[in-house]
Amino acid sequence: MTAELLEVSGLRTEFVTGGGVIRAVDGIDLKISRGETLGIVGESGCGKSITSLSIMQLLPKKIGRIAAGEIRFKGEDLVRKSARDIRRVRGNRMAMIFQEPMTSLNPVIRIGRQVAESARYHLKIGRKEAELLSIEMLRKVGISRPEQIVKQYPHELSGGMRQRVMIAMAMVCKPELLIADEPTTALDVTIQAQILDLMRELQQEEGTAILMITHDLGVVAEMCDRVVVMYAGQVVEETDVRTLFRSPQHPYTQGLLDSLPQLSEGRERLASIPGQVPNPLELPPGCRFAPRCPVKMRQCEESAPELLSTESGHQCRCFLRQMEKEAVGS
Amino acid sequence: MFGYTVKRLGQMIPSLLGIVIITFILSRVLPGDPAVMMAGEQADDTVIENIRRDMGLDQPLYMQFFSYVIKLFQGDLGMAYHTGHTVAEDFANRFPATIELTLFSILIAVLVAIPVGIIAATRKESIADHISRVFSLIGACVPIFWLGLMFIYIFYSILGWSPAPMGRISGDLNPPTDITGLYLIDSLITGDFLAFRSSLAHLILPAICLSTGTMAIVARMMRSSMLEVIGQDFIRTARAKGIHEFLVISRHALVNALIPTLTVLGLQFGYLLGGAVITETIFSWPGVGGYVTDSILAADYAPIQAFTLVSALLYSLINLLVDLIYGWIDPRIRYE
Repeated sequence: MTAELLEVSGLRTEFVTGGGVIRAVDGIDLKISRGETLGIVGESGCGKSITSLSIMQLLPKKIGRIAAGEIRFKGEDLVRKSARDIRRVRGNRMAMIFQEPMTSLNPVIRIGRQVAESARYHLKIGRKEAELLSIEMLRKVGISRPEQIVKQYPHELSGGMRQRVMIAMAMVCKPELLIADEPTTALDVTIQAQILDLMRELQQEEGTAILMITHDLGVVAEMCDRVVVMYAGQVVEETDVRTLFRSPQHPYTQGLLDSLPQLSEGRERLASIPGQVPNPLELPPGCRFAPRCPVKMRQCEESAPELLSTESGHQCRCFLRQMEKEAVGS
Repeated sequence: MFGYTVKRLGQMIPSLLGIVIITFILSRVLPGDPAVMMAGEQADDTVIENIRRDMGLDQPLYMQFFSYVIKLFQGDLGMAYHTGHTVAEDFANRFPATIELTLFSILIAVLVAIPVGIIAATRKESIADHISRVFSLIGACVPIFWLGLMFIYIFYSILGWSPAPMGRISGDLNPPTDITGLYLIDSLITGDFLAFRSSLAHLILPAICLSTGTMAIVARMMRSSMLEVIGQDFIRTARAKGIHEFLVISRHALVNALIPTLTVLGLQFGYLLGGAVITETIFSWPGVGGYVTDSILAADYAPIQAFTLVSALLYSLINLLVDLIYGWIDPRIRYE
């Protein structure tokens, strides 16, 4: 048994489509310790959401499948568990909140019942107890008048309120791991900050580990201890959050950071990374970022770089860093 | 809610008025002269002329229409000349049979179609799904008169499993005491098991025959709305809670998928009333359907008009009921 709460190794998730098999996640390794917050950053389509759905074992049936790898949660491999055993973990020890609070709640069921549902199922508590629990949870996520809100329906609440409800729902069984897939993307900026604060408070209170999926580097800076940067289904860089912002190693990460607006530099055009995420059915033969890379070399188009550790725990998938390292070593 | 119901009832008046006008005109342009029908082909002209005057058919058409509407407002549906009773009396005798047939058909259709639709959607592309799709295609295409005749041929003539397609109960049994007018329910209430068996045996074939079209359409609707609901975000949320897939479907998907299916069911009611006319004729079912067929053949205006009007009224009321049920199951819909 390892000390890690969640350990993903060599995860490969595939989708069967009309055009062929898409490898949405291609050999990913992740580690999350108890109480830690790990961020996964990347553009849309880089495979970060698919990674989270793979961990939850919620891939769309028949089209999506985990082709290889292990997902060890508290030492046990979820990939090889029965549906029944997975249900025992899911929603109980490991919970998830989604991007769209507007559509992620059932429109015809009262808030109270939805919040307490997983507790009633996993903890086998009664109706009365469940109602008290949902009131307590709603109060905990900062909803005023929770006694009334439990009797209301989702359409009667605002987006921010609904996301609070989603968090209450996810936290009701006191999970050890909370997966948050773009939890603030659909919300107003002021509400975003409130939701992030709330998540951090709950995390400190309950000691929950958080896997934060986001494309927003602001959220990463705010919330995360360590960060994994994904590109086209692979990890391209992994390090602690300070190092990432201070000395990013991968050209893609550098590009992401450059595209953030800086107050000090006046109002110039924002930098952007030219080109688009490659089509997963026609991946470049070498480095997947090569077609968009500003410092690309011939080697990059011919062979694919490995993910290598550069300094203390800092990993990067780039030939340039590899060469630097070799130069220093020799 | 009350205000909304009153408003909807008020909106029914113009459409019912339209129906009154249309059926009045349509039944007048039907071939056949009711006076001749009553007097017989050989009657001489003065007799026919007298009958015509008695029935008010010598009046100009607009006068006939006004006197019809005035009587209608007095609750008088007119006289059915081919039976010699008032239409109201004939309806009172025959409507329970039609209601029993229609309700039982809806019951069969719903009990079969909704589970089939759910299974087809949750096991999409499975053998069960393909079979259900083939059957619902067939069910939606097969005409009632053909199916009815095949049922009688197979289950009565060849297999002898079902009683002769005549009436609601065997001729040697007394109908159960009239409480609701529905034999199945009345015989259960009075504990008359023989009557129950016999009326069920008489009811089952015409009811299945009448239900097939509705069954097919409801099953297809249920399948497609279920598929749509299963793809929604809140179903993923429900799955993320780790609850059993059965609960995901029954608690989270079913109610949401029932909403569009209910609309279709309400609209199907009109089809069922039309289908009842054919089914009753084939199975000699003593309901209003067969009665209306006879009335059309006898060029008897009053029952035709009354049946159309009552059907339209029922249809509107059923669809109002459907809308009210919406508000009950979907909290997003509130009626002002």
